[in-house]
Amino acid sequence: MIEGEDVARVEEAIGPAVGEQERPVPPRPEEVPAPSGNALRRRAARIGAVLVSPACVLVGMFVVFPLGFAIYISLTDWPLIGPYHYIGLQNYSSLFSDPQFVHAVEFTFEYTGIVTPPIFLVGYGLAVLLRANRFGAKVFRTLFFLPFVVGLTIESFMFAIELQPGSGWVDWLLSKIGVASSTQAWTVSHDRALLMISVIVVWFAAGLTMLILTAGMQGIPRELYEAAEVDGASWWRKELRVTLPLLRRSIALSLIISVIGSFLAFNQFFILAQNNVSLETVVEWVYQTGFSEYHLGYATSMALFLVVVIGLVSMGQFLLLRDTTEV
Amino acid sequence: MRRRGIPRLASVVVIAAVASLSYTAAAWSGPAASPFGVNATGTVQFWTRAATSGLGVALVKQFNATHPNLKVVLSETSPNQDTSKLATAIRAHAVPDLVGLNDIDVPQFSREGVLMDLTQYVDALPYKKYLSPGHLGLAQYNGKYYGVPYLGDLSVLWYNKKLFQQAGLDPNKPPATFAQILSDAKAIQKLGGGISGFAMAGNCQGCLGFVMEPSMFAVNDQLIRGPIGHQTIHIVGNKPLEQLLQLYRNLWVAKVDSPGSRTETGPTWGNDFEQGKVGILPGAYGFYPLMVKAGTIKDIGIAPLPGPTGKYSTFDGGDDFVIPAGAKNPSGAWEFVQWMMQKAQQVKYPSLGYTPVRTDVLTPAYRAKNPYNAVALQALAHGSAPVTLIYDAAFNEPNSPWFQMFTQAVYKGDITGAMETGQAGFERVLKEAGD
Amino acid sequence: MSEAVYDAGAVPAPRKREHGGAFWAYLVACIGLSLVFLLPLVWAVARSFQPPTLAASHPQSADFSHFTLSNYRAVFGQEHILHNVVNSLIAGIGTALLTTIVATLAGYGLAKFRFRGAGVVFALILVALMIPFQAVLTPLFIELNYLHLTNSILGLIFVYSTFNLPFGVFVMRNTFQQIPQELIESAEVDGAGVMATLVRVLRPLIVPGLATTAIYAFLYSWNEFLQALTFLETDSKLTLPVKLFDIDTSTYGAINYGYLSSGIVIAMIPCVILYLSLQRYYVQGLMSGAVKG
Repeated sequence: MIEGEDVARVEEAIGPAVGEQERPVPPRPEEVPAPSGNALRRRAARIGAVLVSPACVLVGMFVVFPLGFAIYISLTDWPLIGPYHYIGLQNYSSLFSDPQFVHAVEFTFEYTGIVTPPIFLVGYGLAVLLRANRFGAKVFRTLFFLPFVVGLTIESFMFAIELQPGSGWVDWLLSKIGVASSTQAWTVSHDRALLMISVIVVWFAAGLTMLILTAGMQGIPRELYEAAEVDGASWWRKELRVTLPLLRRSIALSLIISVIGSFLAFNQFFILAQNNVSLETVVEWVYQTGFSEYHLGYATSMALFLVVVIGLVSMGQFLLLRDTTEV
Repeated sequence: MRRRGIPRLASVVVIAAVASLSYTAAAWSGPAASPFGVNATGTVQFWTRAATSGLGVALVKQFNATHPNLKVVLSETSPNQDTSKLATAIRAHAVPDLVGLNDIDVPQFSREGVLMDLTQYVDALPYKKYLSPGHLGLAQYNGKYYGVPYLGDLSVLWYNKKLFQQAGLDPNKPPATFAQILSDAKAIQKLGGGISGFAMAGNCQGCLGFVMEPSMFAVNDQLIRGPIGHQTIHIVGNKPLEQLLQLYRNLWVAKVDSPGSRTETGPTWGNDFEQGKVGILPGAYGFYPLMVKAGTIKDIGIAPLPGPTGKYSTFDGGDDFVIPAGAKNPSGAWEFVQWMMQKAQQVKYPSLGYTPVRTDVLTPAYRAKNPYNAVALQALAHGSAPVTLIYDAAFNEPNSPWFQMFTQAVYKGDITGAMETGQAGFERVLKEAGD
Repeated sequence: MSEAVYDAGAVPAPRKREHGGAFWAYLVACIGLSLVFLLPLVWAVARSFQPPTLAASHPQSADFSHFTLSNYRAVFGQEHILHNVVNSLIAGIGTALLTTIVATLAGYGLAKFRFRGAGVVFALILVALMIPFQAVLTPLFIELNYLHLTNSILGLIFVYSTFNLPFGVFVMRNTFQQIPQELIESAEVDGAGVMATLVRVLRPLIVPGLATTAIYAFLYSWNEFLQALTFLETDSKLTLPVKLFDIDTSTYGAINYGYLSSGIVIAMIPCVILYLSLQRYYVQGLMSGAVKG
């Protein structure tokens, strides 16, 4: 955000922005007559094109080209070593007869369904809690956001140590509660392990939702709340009538980000549950197919399928949640 | 134009030119035409994998110190990347001179013709017949050798002599049959006080295959049979395999497995045994340095892994040396390889946790100095490792048919169903690999 | 100053001193939640000061009387993971630099210059935003291999920067759009070229945007796992997250919890420091994205 004082500082340095034209510029005899408007525009266009070219090159090389290349690869049986052959749509047709792929898709959906509501609700709750900016709100917001900053990867390693049966504090805590004992193999149980990982993910992601919703909440005029209070509305009613409708955009944003992140989940499962096949996500299966078993063509077809699904789901979310009242 | 003169002159010139060029070319093919692998110079780019890099790190240093004209440059490949790294290097035409490849991975490379054919050099080795048959077999393809043994990473049966004694068992009689394993483990379990009769890495696919397959090798069953390209698997109806799964099931049901066994994925495998809390542990010889470090080695005994009713074998794991086709300094690589295979170097292996790849190293003096490794080395000659393209997919992957069969049989108790699952799974993997 | 970020909206902060029950309930809830959010991180730090043998047992009160620096000394002394930390630093700083420079140029071009094809550029940036890298992991791997950029920090820097460009271009374009056109024109009349204008005249104004872009790019690169896992192949080139993974999973029977726990804390440090000290830019970036949708 540009602060007013910054502009003032610069103006001091180079003179007032307005009124510059008043200083007379002595013409030099050899000087070519001042360029016409058209030439100026062309020059500006040239400069503009040059300025954006590095970005275009990078994106072209590392996003657009690979995307096209991916489509090509997905139509072959690209192996680790040796020549590859064009096999048409065979990779795609075998996707759904691959039990592990189907299971990975099901699990990814299941996982997304399990973590999205808590992430949203906890984030919403935190945002509401700190909405009034009471004493210490800034500090608390910082702390709630800290797990997000540290990152899920590092936190997965943290919990890899702490989830160890017989040594980590999580296992210790759970055994004290009686939920799990150190002899129970809860890390290999689908439900319990999924629950643990979900809790970690909610802890990690709630802060981001909190911030996004807070930003949205700041834009809601106080008068609307006051008006609702005058009407005798309860807290819940106020939320329903005032906050939620005006928060639509932020809610949509936080949900879309959360869902996309869940569909692409890899790090936490790879680090914490690599050996547990029942907890395999689609991206994990793509990685294993492509870089452990070296069926690169097949892996690529899976990845493209995933992207299409994500695109559809995001579009669906966007349509459902968009502000139909706004232009 | 003098038609007779010029052609004559021209042909003389041409012949002279060609002759001198050929001579120069011949002269350029090597400084004084040194034989392959002798007095090589320059550097050798040597890739080793992280799991076994300890040996390379220690011995390369010694080699470089004693070879002023030839330097080995060691590079450690990240775990799980060994095959991909070599494959990408081959694709990019930027190959190293020498690779210490996991021996079970060699067939897929020899089959593609991307490794140097070493047959003539291997045949010329005076100690060829003493080289580990398992390693050499994996380096062989279509009758030619594309690699030689590098190091042995063998599986053995560890047992705690002190606990044996406390349980009333003879500490010098390790279990030699399945029945003995079960009864010995039960006896030790009765000691109580946090002691377990048996330990395994129950959630580690690679570990399980490593220690269980030798029981099949002991009865001459390679599980995966036939030459690459026409392989079959015999699981359903395989009596020894059924007995093997039954043993592990019985151990599980008798609750003699250590607390960490069910969930162990490998990183802490054997820790409980090293602390003296477990009676019997089928494991890697490589645990030896850890037990020395833990101070418990004096209580520990070693035995080869038994078959169902006797006999024994081991898994000839470890690495083979391979020289990629197109390597810049294959002669230097071969010189280093020969140096490594000398007895002087081979006897340094055990203290680093590895087993030599030459059985003629096993002399009485060796046995006296390395009593534990001697047992492993003795099993080496009877050892084996499946020669196939599907080893990783069939045994090591998280969803491998071997592991599915194991979990269904041992944790769920459905041995018949498990073997059917295994059969179907293996057949599927074989089909996908083109067999 | 940071207050301004949070109070950007129309909701005035009620600064009246509340001491009612509601206030105490609020305080208790906040403190309780803070503990929940903070304790795992704090415990991880405490863990790293324990001798490795203790890491193999349940937490006890005895833990706190055995503080030791041995894990850190081992890390730096034997250079076991020091080179990986350095790799991560190089990747992070490199990504921050490349992203910031390219995004600034592109943002400037898009904000202040009219040229045909600006729409195409927008579309390109949008594609980079919509396509997750996981979709192109395989072809990227093959492509990088042909370019000899696998197993190279430089390769990572290129890829990381590319995927951070959408956010960076967006931030910088917004930044430039807020600069009055007259400022630029007056500099041009003075004879300043494009680069000179950018560097001398506009630099003080765009620092916030630069900081935001750089911070995000650095943290993205520092924490990134899957791409590093796929593209890096030699131990000497690994970044910290991948090295930690190797320590955690690869050794059979000899895992070193000491290295792992101290590595975790080392990995946490830049994130926390950057966030706490430059919070304003970090949050601002998010907010501008959130508000603009």
